[in-house]
Amino acid sequence: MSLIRFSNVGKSYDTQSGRRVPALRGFELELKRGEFFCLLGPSGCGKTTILSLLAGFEAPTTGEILLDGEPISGTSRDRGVVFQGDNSLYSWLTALENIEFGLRLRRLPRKIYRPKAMEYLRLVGLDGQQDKYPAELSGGMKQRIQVARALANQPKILLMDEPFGALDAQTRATMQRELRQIWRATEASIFFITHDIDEAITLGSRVGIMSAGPGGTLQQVIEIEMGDERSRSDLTYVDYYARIERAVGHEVNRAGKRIQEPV
Amino acid sequence: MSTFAVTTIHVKTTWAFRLASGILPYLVSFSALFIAWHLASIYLVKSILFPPPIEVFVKAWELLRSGDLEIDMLASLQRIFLGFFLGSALGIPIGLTIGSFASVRRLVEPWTEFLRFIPATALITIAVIWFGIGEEGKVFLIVYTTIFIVILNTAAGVASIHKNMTRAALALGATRWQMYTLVALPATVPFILTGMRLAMANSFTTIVAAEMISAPHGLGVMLWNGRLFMLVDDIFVSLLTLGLLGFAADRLFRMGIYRFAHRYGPVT
Repeated sequence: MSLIRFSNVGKSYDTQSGRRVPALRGFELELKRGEFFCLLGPSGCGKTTILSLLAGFEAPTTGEILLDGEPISGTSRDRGVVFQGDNSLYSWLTALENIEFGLRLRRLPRKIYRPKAMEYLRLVGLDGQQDKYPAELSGGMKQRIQVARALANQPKILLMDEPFGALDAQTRATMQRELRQIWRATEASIFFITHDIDEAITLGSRVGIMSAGPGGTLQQVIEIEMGDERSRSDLTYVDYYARIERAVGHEVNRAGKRIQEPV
Repeated sequence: MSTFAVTTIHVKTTWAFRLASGILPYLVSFSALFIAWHLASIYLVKSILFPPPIEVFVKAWELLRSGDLEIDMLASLQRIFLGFFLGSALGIPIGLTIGSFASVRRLVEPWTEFLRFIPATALITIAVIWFGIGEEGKVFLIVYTTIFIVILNTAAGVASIHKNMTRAALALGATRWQMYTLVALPATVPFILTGMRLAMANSFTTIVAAEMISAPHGLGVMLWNGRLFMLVDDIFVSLLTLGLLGFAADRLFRMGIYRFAHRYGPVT
């Protein structure tokens, strides 16, 4: 059985002028346990909406999302989320306290959550930074806290919404490499949203391409059959890039022809 | 050896620097105030109705020696702090609830928006009628003057919490109550503290007015008696004490914030 199954999922919003604008329609996808799925698409195609529905922050207008065969309703700790910016971190808690936040919510004793949080702190390479506050850490380190915070809760799937989008190219490349290693080490299932083709090919075991918004849907899914060492100069890589770029480029052009930007 | 010398110089510099940046500006600023006051009263106004600072200091010293000033100070401070903490203790949860639940806001906002425009000083008469001339009336007025500022600031603080901060906690499995105590409350601390500082200043204003109407002791009583018996020096002692106490209370509050609430990123 698949881990997650989207069947005919749609979402529309009411604008302030009272019009109903579709953000997503007829979205169908199955996610396998332990896979690293990257969802790629131009801005405004509804990919963040999908994450929001999957996390349970919002409910779909049509269709349903099943997790282990059970329909999703609301948030739950079996779906961990990593956000793009740093404004989800608790500024009054240290790096370690942020990581153990989810464990504390479960009222586990300190004896248990402390060592566990330390374990995840080390996993994301933040040794020695445990007593620092988020404001004292760099953008890359803050994203590491978010990853560790979500993983420490041992969710069934990790949802990541362009988590490296605000980082500089150098840091982003490092983070991508390490995220892949973490994925290998923890055997976590990851659903990763991005608009960067390189990022999708570097990270994903499958890449889903969205059609242009507003009211986008899944256009096609491409299996990335490459090892862990993925180099941009690799011929296979170049091939994948060309294929995906064609598909995405087509969508971007279509989106460009429409004037309105979705909400 | 040279390392040792360098270290010593470093220590000396920081010590001197701390003194210079910490206390010195206050000393200079207060001295300037007293010099200006002195010059104004000796050369400009030349009236017994405007005593020079030295005369006021002498009077203050006399009142301190006799113990009268302490009694008045304590009486006022007691009312202020009782009312201030009670008002904050009530205002913070109300503000958090208003900020967290839109339905509660719509229900409670008319009350707060209506009442906060009636100044505490306007309620003095009614406080005397309701509570008599005892302590309750004065504490009630301080609570009243504190609570709305704290409510408004707290609610504004909750409203400013970023959506992702709330969502992250939900995705980590937080319950309603945990959202309230572990996210909304700590995230709002800077706003609460700012509200409390403003409320403290209000408390000083209100207590003087309240004590002028009816009280056995207090700095407001001292002012009022000074007016009745033409004790200009007493009036100035009371004013000076009010200013200094307010200043000290605010400094202490800020120091407390820095010491205990530093991690919440307060604006001091």
